[in-house]
Amino acid sequence: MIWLDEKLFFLINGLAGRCDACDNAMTLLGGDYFMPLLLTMVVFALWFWGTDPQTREKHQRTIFATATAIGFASAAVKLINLGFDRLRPFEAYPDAVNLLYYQCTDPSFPANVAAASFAFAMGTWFSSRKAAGILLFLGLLWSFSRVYCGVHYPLDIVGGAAIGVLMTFPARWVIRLVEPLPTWVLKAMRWACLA
Amino acid sequence: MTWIRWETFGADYLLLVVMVCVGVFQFVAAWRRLDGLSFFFGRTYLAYAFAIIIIGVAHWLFFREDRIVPDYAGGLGGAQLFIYTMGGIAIAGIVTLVVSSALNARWRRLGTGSAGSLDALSSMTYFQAIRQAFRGNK
Repeated sequence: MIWLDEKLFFLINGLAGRCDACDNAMTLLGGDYFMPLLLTMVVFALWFWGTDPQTREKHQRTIFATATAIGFASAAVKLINLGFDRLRPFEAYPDAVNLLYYQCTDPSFPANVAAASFAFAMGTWFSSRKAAGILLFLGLLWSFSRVYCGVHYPLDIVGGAAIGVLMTFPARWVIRLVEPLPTWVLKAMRWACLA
Repeated sequence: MTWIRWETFGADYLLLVVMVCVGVFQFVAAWRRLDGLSFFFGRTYLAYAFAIIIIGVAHWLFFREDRIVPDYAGGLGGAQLFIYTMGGIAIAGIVTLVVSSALNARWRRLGTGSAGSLDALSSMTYFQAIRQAFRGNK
């Protein structure tokens, strides 16, 4: 499995360095600033999604759960990192990897970008399939670009994605558990004409 | 490598978030016909154009410099990124509500609905809506 993972990594990372425009695009997409902001803005737009208050409230509750899921996914990645340290591709094969990005210092597995982006997508899945589809596409693009740039193996992405998806369920449970807090927040925001 | 002003990295990112978010607010105002939130009262095509331009300019301003910066060498870590993003959304929200209320105050068509949800902003400015909310929605 590791052999297949590394083979797939070199297949994707081997595309780097052939076309400057592609490299620049992948570096932008794989960076720390472009995609997180884009994903956040899609979820932010979901706050206004829906013409009637009931639909909008469903989406707004989903945003609370999604934010919680992202927090849980990030925490889960940190916990796994404490006990499992897979070397980054550029550390394991310093002469063979086309590194387009800076040398990250945290472990390779699981990919935190995949955990976060799949938590974004899965979190919104329960209220808007359309928004979830957009977020899933962006998440896949972000994850692919990280492999292309030489900072993650494909298996890191799969691991991160699984964590992102799985963390959505406890997050939704927690949001139900802290009820009526989300209802109070939404009521207050509706009074202030913000929800 | 491009020269990077390390000390202003956070401020640059905050500016990016604020500008992008103001653009998203205008896009949403046009899309949901929330005239009270729009800078361009009823002229949705102008609001869409403004949103595209401000989001484009924000990205150009931020990414014209090298932003591949490790968090251990002046870039933003995950927690900082979260704080700056939330802060930027809040600032953009305040800017949008104040500017749209000021710009639309002279439009008489606004101010005729009732407060109580986001829908109020389709028929009144935010200041009018919040005033009505304080008066008990009478």
